[in-house]
Amino acid sequence: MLSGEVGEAVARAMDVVVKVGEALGASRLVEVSHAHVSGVSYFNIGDFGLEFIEDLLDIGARFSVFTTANPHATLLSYKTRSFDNWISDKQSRIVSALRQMGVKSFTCTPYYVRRPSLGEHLAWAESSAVLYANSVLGAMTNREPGIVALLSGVTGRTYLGDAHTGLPHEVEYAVEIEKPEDPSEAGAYGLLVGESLGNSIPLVNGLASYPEYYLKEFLAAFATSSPTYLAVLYGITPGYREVDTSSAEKLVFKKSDILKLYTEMTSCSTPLYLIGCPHLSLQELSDILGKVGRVRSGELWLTIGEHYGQIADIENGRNIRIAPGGCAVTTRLDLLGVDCVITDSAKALVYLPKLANVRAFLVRRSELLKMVSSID
Amino acid sequence: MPLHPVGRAIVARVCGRLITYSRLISPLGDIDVTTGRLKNTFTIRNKIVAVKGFTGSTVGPYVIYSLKKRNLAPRALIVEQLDVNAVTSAVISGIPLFKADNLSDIEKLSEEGLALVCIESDKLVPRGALIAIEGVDGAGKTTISKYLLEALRKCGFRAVYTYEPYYDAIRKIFETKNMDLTPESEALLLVADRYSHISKVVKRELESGSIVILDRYKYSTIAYQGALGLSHEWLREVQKYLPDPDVAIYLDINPVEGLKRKVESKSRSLTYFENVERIERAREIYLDMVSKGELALVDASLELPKVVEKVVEIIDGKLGLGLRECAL
Repeated sequence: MLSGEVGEAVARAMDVVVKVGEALGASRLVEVSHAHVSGVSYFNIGDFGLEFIEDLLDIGARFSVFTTANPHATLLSYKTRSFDNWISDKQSRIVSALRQMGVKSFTCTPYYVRRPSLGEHLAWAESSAVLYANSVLGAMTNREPGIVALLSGVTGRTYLGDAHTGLPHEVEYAVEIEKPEDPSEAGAYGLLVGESLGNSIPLVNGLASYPEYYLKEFLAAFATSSPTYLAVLYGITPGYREVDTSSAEKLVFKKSDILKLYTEMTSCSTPLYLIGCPHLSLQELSDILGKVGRVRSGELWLTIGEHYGQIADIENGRNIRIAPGGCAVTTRLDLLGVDCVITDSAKALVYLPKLANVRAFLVRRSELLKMVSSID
Repeated sequence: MPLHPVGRAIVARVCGRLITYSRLISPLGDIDVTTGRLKNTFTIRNKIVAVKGFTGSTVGPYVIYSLKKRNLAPRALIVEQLDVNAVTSAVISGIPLFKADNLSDIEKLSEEGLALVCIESDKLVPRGALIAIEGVDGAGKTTISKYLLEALRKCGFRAVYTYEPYYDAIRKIFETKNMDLTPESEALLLVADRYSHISKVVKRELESGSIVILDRYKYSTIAYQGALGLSHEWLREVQKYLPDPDVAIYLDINPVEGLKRKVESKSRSLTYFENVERIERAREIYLDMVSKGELALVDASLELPKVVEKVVEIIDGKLGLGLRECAL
């Protein structure tokens, strides 16, 4: 493959995967069945990323395994403002190039597109999805850089990092979290746990009885503040019983610890409300739509995987916008005149000010739905 | 100084100006992609860039790739801290990447003026360079050479200027004519001077890492003694053990104009070699060597700043010294 007998694109992709693996001390490559690419928003990767992806397409790169990609920038208008055409055009070129290479869906929850099985080797780059795959599904993926995942999709291989060798035998920390009462609280715990443990893999107890979207929020936020690829979830992670915690330091996180993340909202008169970071499942979407009437002031944006398609007409007159395949967090919302965002996502709380250039406030999902609802 | 190549690919010898930056770089934000300038300091184009490591956005590799496509990328990257961003940046852009044990050892080379380096056999070695300035009389060789010397030193390089014929004893023979000279004896005297000069003076400087500017070199003998009718093959044969310079520049000027410059500037009469017809023939031979790619042509009839600019461009192009940005 390296010598180019299967084409320039594969040879170049292989070269990168091999060298990254060597540089990180991997002993060999491993075949993967599903790649998930990050670095799709034009606001993140800019003209350079666009150029690289289009060049790769031009030299004939096509995905050789099932490949999904992160959501693109949300190109919705906000009130009367929308993005300049050149921005939309460039974002569309990125999406189009990736689609021509074979991307099946644009979403940050690729496990809703294709659910990996136990022990399956993946090359995923979206950190929240990496944690979900390893910690919930018992699949195995490095926390890949976006480019490596892109090229792994082409080669069908990645380097054999620690994540591909199974769970660790022991952990340094055993973490207990006090009962979260909202998916947002699960996320808030995730952020704090990740922040507290450096690059250690913890065992986390306290989430076993929760629906999967609590796990999703916890892990997405954990991945925001921790560089690791795994959190062993007691009662959830396949094989969690094998992990030795006898010499682990015990840490307890209480409700009182996460309250500091729910700060008072100041001067946010016409907010953008955001739910869907990570993307919502269809079940969550349906639950939310069932609870919301018309949004009183501002707009409610719900982000979901592209593969769910356009959900027709439900937004009419209700100030609810659904963005399949879109990500509001990696969209320069300030350019649309958005000043502040109210979200239930602890991950979004961290990234919105950095990437979307807006102020962000965290509220519980139940409260957010109450805030936006009104009885007409 | 040992380096560890990243990846299994065999990296050919790569040489260029060494640039060191003792901090982590975040390509997105730290490097101007329209100029290749790093943090308002220097451009990294064609340099050997040694940095602490990479940090910041995962878009970093795309930035380096973009620089490469715009011909603004470095010739090689050296990092002290190896990470995924550094590896992907280098690999997708086809830039050789090396890991150094200690960046401060590399920084010392720069501080000592040993800023022209090669990476060969997994080692970073300072190297000298030989720049030959050729031209007919009055073309401005000495002026340009002296200017270059100053520019190199200003840019932090260890540099020396020398000339040929080098030894007084040989120069005297031509000045006093106290020996009966034939074209052959003339050529052999000059070549003898050259062998000694190179072997005893120039070589030592090159080995210590200096950049040597040589005012006339073996091409002069081919042109001037060739102009007396000697066979070019023979003139090449007797000089075949002399090293080729890293850069050989021919400053071209109409001989009459050149001689006029000389007489005006020095208010003196013409010397033994300065005969218009002979110089015209020498010029033809020089231009023939230009057409064979042995010498890089610079029009020396232009204003001095233009000539300087062109000379610097050629040297930067060959050696990646970055003189344009630090000396012009």
